[in-house]
Amino acid sequence: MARMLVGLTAALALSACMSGGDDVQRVGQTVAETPPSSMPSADLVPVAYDLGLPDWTPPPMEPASNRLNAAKAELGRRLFYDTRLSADRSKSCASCHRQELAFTDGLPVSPGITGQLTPRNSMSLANVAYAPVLTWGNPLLHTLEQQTLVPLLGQDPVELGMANRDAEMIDRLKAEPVYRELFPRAFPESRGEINLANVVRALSAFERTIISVNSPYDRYRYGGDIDAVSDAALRGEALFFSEKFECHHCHNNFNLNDNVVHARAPHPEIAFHNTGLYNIDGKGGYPHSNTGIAELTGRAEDMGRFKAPTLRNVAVTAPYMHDGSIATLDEVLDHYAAGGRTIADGPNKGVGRDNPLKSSFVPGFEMSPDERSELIAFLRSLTDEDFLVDKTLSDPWK
Amino acid sequence: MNFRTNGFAPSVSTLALALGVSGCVTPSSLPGADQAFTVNFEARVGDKPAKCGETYQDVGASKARIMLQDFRVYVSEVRLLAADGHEVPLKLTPDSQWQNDQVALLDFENATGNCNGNAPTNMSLRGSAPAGDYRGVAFDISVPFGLNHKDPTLAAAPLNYSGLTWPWRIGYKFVTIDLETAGATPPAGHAGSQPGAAAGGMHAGMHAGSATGFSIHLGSTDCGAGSPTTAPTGPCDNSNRPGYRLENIDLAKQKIVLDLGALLARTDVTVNAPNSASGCMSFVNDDDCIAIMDRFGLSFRGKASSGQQFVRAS
Repeated sequence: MARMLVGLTAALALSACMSGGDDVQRVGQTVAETPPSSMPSADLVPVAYDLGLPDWTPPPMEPASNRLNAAKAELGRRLFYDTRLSADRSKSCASCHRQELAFTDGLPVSPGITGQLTPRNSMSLANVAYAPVLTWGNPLLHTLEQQTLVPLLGQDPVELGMANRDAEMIDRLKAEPVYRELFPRAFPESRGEINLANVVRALSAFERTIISVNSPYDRYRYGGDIDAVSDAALRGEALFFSEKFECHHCHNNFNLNDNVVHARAPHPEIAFHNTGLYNIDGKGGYPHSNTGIAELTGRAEDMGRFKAPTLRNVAVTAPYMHDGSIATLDEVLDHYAAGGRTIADGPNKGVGRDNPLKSSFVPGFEMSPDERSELIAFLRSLTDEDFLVDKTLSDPWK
Repeated sequence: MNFRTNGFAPSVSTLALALGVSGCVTPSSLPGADQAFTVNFEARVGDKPAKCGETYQDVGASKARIMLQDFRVYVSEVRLLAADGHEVPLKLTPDSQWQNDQVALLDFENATGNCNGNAPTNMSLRGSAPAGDYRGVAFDISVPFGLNHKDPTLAAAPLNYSGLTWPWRIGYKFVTIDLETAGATPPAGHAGSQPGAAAGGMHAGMHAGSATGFSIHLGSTDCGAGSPTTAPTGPCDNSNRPGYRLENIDLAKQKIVLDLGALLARTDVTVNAPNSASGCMSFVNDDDCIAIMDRFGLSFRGKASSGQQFVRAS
């Protein structure tokens, strides 16, 4: 109790003295005082490293135990594009996260080194630093440092296939002169030791630099450049944020989703929704490989609840949905217009519209051809062309 | 954990001390100045505490079952009532999380069960006022107009929660209540045999076309033409900012109860009016709002409220 009172005093004093001042400093204090019960955010701090963000953009958070620095980001970038991180040296992180596709892979689901497919669609890494939970449907996966181990070491499915072979991977890295130089600069506190923990930290640090905030829509909405987007896109924006179409209920923050944590919102918001994509048994059933967070919570009512993805760069991240089962943006609009997808035949046959577990924000809507094209124009205005070719994020081995 | 927690305490107190020395102290710490006051709130469904993960029976006109998905409320214009009834403003104490100096966020969800949101909760207002014998409290459920129409994706606490934004002309949901709903009783023979029934019985007996959720989003409407992501040029036609005044209560002992059961008493939450937003999202064309607005204490479609039923003292 004494500690909390002291913390409160500090917060009050800060806000009284620093109005209009350094937001980052103030928020950092608030986070430091977060009681342990609200872990895992308690050990997150605002990124202090200069990410080159526009003034409007809130800084992302990072674990206090893995502060970003230039050497770490550069090391992580090397590792991200390095096929030495896969058992047969055939794949790297970038195999499923291609920059020109906003760090997705253009496939419904992705093959690992053995050809085994992931159950879910490769998610965009754009602004992943702002995600308080990672992947499509794992409420327990809070940091990139945790998540990175999944593709590296996962055995079902096998992705990069390094389970039981991480020592071999470390030996490969030690043989590379670039790494013998970069690890000590990135991790001076551990004398640059080349080990799995530092590999994971560096990869996570690089991923936090994968920032996309310069789409035409950003330049219009946050930069005040009214000419940055077309009139059709502006009309589409109005539809997107209308109660008729309801898109904004789950795509409403600056990353156009509803899972976010950053320096101005240090207490993460986390949400999962069932959008009526399936209804196999009439009771809300989803295919067994993709049951949403129910897979981890074990709660029947969590069937089919997945995270809303960012819509940044959505025009280049096809195919769509957690399992890549919708090929085009037009068909995504069809799904939401119908209030859920109907599958007429096959093992997944069912009327998603009648899924009893479906979010109340997916009731369906009528959409004219003009409205459809305006919504698409709005979604296309979210593509950050500079980001797709940003040399600071590209393959450093080339 | 203990190590780190203890480790922070000295540095934080040192910081406060340093700022204090440089001339910044909190108002309540000045001798003879304002006194600190706390106003405690509680969310209920009838006589039961409203919590994530609980199923409530007999709610509304159809005696439906509901589960919370969200329950958060913005409060502003807080006044303490002196013994003679005159109002003394309670200056909210900014805390970089729940309150700025004009508006506070009450948060009754903790992200467990079916709730979306975040783990921390906040069930009180904290502020300062001249010392006195106060016997009541008055407040609005609202975000003041001057703050309501700025870009929520860039705002500071407590206006920084994207799930509480309402992009129609950029405003906030003064009340965000999202519910899962189901009919009164599962049909005989079905209970326990369906996935939903096994975990609370919410989805047993649902039939196609009925609403499986119901939302109450209170906010300003008819704010003029223009982009949804720009501010209106003048006040909205329907500001929808209900005011409440509770007299003869002991603020030290009693809580202000926000009763969802009473709010919904005349509403069937298992159906949604055709061609309208899910539940009541404040729109004038939505029949689902008729009884709810009345019980918030707001006029709706030009008809005055018959008296608010949402707020009372414990």
